[in-house]
This record gives sequence, structure tokens and C-alpha cells, in this order.
Amino acid sequence: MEADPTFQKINENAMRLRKQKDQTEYPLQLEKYQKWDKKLAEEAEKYDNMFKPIDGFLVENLAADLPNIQSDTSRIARNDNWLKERKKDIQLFETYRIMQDMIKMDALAGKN
Amino acid sequence: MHFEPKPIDDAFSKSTYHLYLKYIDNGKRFFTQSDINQLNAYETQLDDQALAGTFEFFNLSVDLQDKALNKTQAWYQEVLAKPINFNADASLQGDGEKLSWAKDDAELRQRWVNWMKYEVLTRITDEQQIQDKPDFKGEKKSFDQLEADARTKVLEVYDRLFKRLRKMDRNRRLEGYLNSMASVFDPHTNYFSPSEKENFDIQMSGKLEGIGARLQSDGEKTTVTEIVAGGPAWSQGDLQAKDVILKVTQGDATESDDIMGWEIDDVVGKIRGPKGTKVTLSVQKPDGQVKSITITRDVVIMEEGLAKSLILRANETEGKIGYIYLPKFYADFTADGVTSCAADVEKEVAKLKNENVAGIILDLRNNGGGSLRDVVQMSGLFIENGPIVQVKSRSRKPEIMEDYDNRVQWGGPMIVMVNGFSASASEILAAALQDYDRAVIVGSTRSYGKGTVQRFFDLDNATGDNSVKPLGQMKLTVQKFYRITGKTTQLDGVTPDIVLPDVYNLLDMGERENDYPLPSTQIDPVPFQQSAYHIADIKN
Repeated sequence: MEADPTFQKINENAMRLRKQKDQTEYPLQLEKYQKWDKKLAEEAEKYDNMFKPIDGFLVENLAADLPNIQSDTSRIARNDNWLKERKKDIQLFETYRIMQDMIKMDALAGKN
Repeated sequence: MHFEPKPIDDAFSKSTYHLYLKYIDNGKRFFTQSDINQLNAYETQLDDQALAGTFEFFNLSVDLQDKALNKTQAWYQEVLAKPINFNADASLQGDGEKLSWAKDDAELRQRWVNWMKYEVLTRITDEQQIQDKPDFKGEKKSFDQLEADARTKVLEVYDRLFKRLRKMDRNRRLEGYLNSMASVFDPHTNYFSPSEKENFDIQMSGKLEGIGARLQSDGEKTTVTEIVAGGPAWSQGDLQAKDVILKVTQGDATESDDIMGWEIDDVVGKIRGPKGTKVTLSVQKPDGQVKSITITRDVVIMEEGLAKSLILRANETEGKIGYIYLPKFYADFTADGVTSCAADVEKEVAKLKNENVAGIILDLRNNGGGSLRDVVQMSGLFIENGPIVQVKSRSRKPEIMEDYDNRVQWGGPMIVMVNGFSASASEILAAALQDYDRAVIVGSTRSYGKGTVQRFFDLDNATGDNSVKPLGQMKLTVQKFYRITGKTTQLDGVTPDIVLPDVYNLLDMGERENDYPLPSTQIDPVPFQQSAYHIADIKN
């Protein structure tokens, strides 16, 4: 998990946020301000779109829910959007992996 | 009735005094040391004045505020009347906590000069960035033009802010004073005027119209406090909690409203509008970045805030995993009659069982809590029966809230996800299933840490005098809740069994960051056991 590039970026971004929260003094000299503003924007840009759809992670609706979801266009759109977000949700994917490990350990321990 | 009433003494007076100063001049931009010296004389007398029902200190503070408004308004108007020079190497401290009170008017005036420079500078820079974009179509303005435009804009914004501050009547200001007093008891004990109570009810039932964002104003800035799950802002995706809204633009209009200093109701009035129309918000992200976000208005459909589930898969050889998303512990009335999140989660569990899932993940990230009754029922879906949480009022024995239903609706592997915004009821559920060794808790370093229960008391019941009604309500912290182990989630929250990286992990957040939170305490454990499923073996 620590080696995962997205998790590394999350940790980096957490450090950036921490640093910025403490920095409450702003330059008022024109060039200095604009340089500072640009630097902030560039730093923030690195973390734009850092969440990408996770390869091989399938996120699907329940068959039982489909008739309701497909009953109107705004529901379809909201659902599509939700599925897309969850497919990029690296914390959820990691949790899914932990769950699969739990299930394997249960099998070894003779449960189920 | 409060869980931990404090004596009304000098210590109480001091705490009230400091909370109130923070409330009226958090940025240290209005008062000088000589004003503070006058107020300081009352630092330990507020308890006596409260008991005697006198308002000497409050009246003086209002008087000094009015004088400060006149003085500072003249200063910023002077500064904005002529072109500003940005050559001097100066800086602005934006955090009042890091400043001392200005020693005299000269120092205070310099703070206003700097604020105005900063306000103008940010607007010039924003405009320059817009016109430097390759797809910019309008006529490019010179620096001097941009500077003059920015000054006009800032003047408008501050004049509006000052007008609003002047308009604030005595009752509104008194509310602030009374709330400073109430907040000394704990951060969740507050006075609510009738209109504020109405807004609070909207929040609890989750019934909202507009773009589906909850907003809060500190008198100057309007901040997004929550994105309503399933609402238009949520679907669009860019607007987030903690964003500060700077400007609002209607549809394709070229003119926008700079909303700094606006009343929250006026801001909401601009953002709401007919379904299908568009509104563009210019927001400042917590890192300082300014972003434009266009949202198509819609009816905020409540069903999106309800429990729902998905099937997760990654590998043909592995079993399917069920995922349940719960954004709030809601308890609400719908067209079908009374419904509750516990009943809904039970239905989702049944549907997932039909899909033959091998495990269930319950996602309580960003779930700020809600119905206590529902959290007890919901926890009970995963064990046979037993205690879930202990609730304690002052000077009474703890009441043990139990699941009496023997059924185990899900007896397989389970994970509960939490983050720093998972609070209250979310923490009860995570704590209970952790204590029972029933579920693995996965998430941020720790959850929010709110281990208290509040109740509303209608102040109208306290008087027979109809002419003063409606008086509003008091929200009081009446109980603390404890884990079945006797430990509390107050302040420290729930520590996950497995911590995941999270962008907020390094920020100081949660109950312990509030002023005067109730302490973390411990009571006796109660016996508990379950045999539905144990995860103890994988924790080792």
C-alpha cells in the first residue's frame, strides 16, 4: 500500500495541505505576490485528477436496483457518476483487498 | 440539564470574555489595545452581570464596535480612493490569532492598508490570469485599468459588508454574546433563534432545494459546509466542503456578484433558481486556489442521501463483495410512511445476500451521525443481540442501549470504513463492532471524536408572556455516550484497525480542535459477547 503511487501522492498532498494551513502570511509586493500565487497554483495542479479509474476494479449495480435506476435520465446520470467515482476510490479498492485477505484467512482457519 | 454544568464564576467569565472577543473581532482588525483595555476591566465580571441580568459589558462592546466601524470605514475608503502602489516589500498576516492587538490607531490603520492591498492584488491577479488565457475573447485591459476596476469592486464589497454590520440590530448582537456564554459549556450547546432553528431542521431532515450545498457565513465569507449527497453540486463534483464562495454568476451572464460580506439568505437567493438553469460559482479552495464551477440547478432528490449498495469485484477467482454506502443516520418521514436508515440498511443487506456476496463493506466516511435509535438497530443486524452503547445523563446511572433482536442479518466478514468526518452515530457503530471483534475498522488516523448527545429545549415553554414569543430554542448537550467497554469516543474518536492514507490525515480536525470540548472520560464496562463472526484472528 505504501508503495502505491496514488497513496504516495495522497500523503504528499496531505503534507502540502498541512504546510499551507500554517502559512497565513501573504506577500503584498506585486512580483512577490504573483510569484507566490503561481507557485501555489502549480503545486495544487500536481494533485488535480490524481484519482484515476483503477484497472480491473469492477464496480456494479445490484440487479435488483436496475429497474429503479433506469427509470429516469437523471437517475441514470447520477448512478453513472457514482459508479465512476467509486471506481476511482483508492481507499475503497484497498478496503476491498483487505476484505479478500480476510476471506482467505477465514478459509485457512477452516471457517465457512 | 446540561451534562456538565459549570459554576458561574470568574473562570466562566474569563472564558465567555475570550470567546466573545474572538466572535466580534477574530481578525484583530477593529479594536486597538486601548479599546481592549476598556473591555478588559470586565473580564471577570461577566458572571456577576449574567446573574444580575445587567449588560454593562455588552453595551460597552456594542458602543466600541460602532466607533470602530466608523473609524475603519473612513480608512479603507481613503485607501481605495487613489491608485495603490505595490512596490513596497510588505506582507499581510491573515490569521488574527498570530497577531497582537494593534497598539494604536496608526498600527490599526496600517492593517487596513495591507488588507486593502491584498484584496485589490488578488483581484488584479485573477483578472490578469483570465485575460492571459489563450481562449480569452474580450479586450485586454492594462494593469492600471485592472487596478482601478479592482479598487471599485473592493470598495463595493466592503461598503456592503459595513452596511450589513451596521444593520445588525441589538438582538442579533446579543445572540452572539449569549452564544459565547453557551459555548463555554461545550461546543454543541448553542442558542438558536426561530429562523436558525428552521435552518437546523432543514439540515437534520436533509430536505433542501438548490444546488445541494450547505453554506455557512461568518459575516464576511460564505463557506461550503457540506455537499448534499446526490444533489447537483455533488453530481458535478468540483465543489467541496471548506470551499469559500467568492462570486456567483447567473447562466451565461457576464456580470457576477461578488458576495463577500453578504447575508447568507441573500447568497442562497442568488444560488437558488429554476431547475435546468445554470449558476457559476467562483470559489477559493482551502489551499488558496481560485476555481470556477458551473452547476446546473436541479431538485435535490432525497433518495440520493439514502443507503444504497454496489457489488465489487476485481478477480474472477475471488468472491463478490457487497458495498453499502450510508451518508447519514437519517430518520425521516417519506410518502410511504416512516422510514429509517436502519430499516434501509437491513434491506440492502438482504439484497446483497441474494447476490451471494462473500463479505460486506459499510462505508461511513463523511457520515456526521444522526439518529441514535437507528444506530442501535443497525449495529444489531450484525450480531445476535447485546448492548451497543451506553448513554449517560448527569448524576444518573448509564442507560444501556441494547439490540434485543436475535436475528443476525449478516454473519459474514465485514469492514466498516471511517474518516475524520465520521462522527457521533458513525463512531458508535464503528466502536461497537470493533469492541465485539465483529468488523475490521479501516480509515483515516482517527474519526471525529464527538461523544455527546444534544436535545432542543423550546424557550417559549419557560414563559407565559406571549408578547415575547417566539424566543427560539436552546440546544443543550444533555448526555455523553460511552462504548460498551466503558471508554468514550469523545475527543479521540475511533482508531481504525487499519489506517489508510488520507489527504486530511495531517490536519488538526475534529472535536478536540473546538473551544471547551467536554473531556474524555471513562465509565464501567458492560458484559458483551457475540458469536456471529470474529475477526480477532486476523488482527494478530
